[in-house]
Amino acid sequence: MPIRIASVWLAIDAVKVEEILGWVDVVRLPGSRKSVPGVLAWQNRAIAVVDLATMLDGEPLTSGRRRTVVVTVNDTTFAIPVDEATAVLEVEDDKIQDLTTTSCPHANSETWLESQPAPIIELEDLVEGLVTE
Amino acid sequence: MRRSVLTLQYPNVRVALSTEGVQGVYAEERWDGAAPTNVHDLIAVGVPRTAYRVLVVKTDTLETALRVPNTMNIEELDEEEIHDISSPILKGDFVSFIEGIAFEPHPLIILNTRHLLLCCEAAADETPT
Repeated sequence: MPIRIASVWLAIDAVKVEEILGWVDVVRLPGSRKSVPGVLAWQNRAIAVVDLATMLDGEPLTSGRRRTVVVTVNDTTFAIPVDEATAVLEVEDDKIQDLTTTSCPHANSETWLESQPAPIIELEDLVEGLVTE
Repeated sequence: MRRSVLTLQYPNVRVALSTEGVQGVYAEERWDGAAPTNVHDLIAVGVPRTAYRVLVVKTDTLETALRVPNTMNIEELDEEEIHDISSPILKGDFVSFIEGIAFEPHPLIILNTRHLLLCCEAAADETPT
């Protein structure tokens, strides 16, 4: 699934997406890391919010973004606030290449979206990084 | 089931403790017991810009005096309104004190009283005499 944060397009595995919400206010937790600044309410739970912008050297999250993508990876559910999330695309294997024209933490391949190269975020690697960080 | 909590307003967050273990609330200048522990130091939040009160809190085995902002209130919450916050990717000193969070009508973070008092005890043990 293509997602955009500021001017950067990224791709995530659509199978892991639970729901796409609109703007949801993030409750910031004092002393939290920039990459996980707080929580939001989802299905009677408080789930962590992951700010991918901080990993792209972008503007950190203030209270939320236009869309909120909820994903579950290995029993860990979290939300990713984004500026845009578009319809799921099927990408042929030959349209996925090693990360060469872009760089992004937790990505080792890229594809092309909206005529731009887009890193494919490995969500398992992202979670593992955040758990061990 | 309803739950009564004592809310405390800090500059950057509103937290609450269960009223269950609260033995008394005193104006700081009238408190003559042992030196109270600053809750804002324990949970690593902003320093209140208000006067303080002393809250005496007790669990089954621990009793301690806590220094808290005087902007406090008693609120009633439904247990269903309090959401679990456990997640392996949430980290930080503050997070370890969180028992749950209520989102409506305004975010309110419920602290685990027992953990708070245990940390008070540990902090007191480390204080040089």
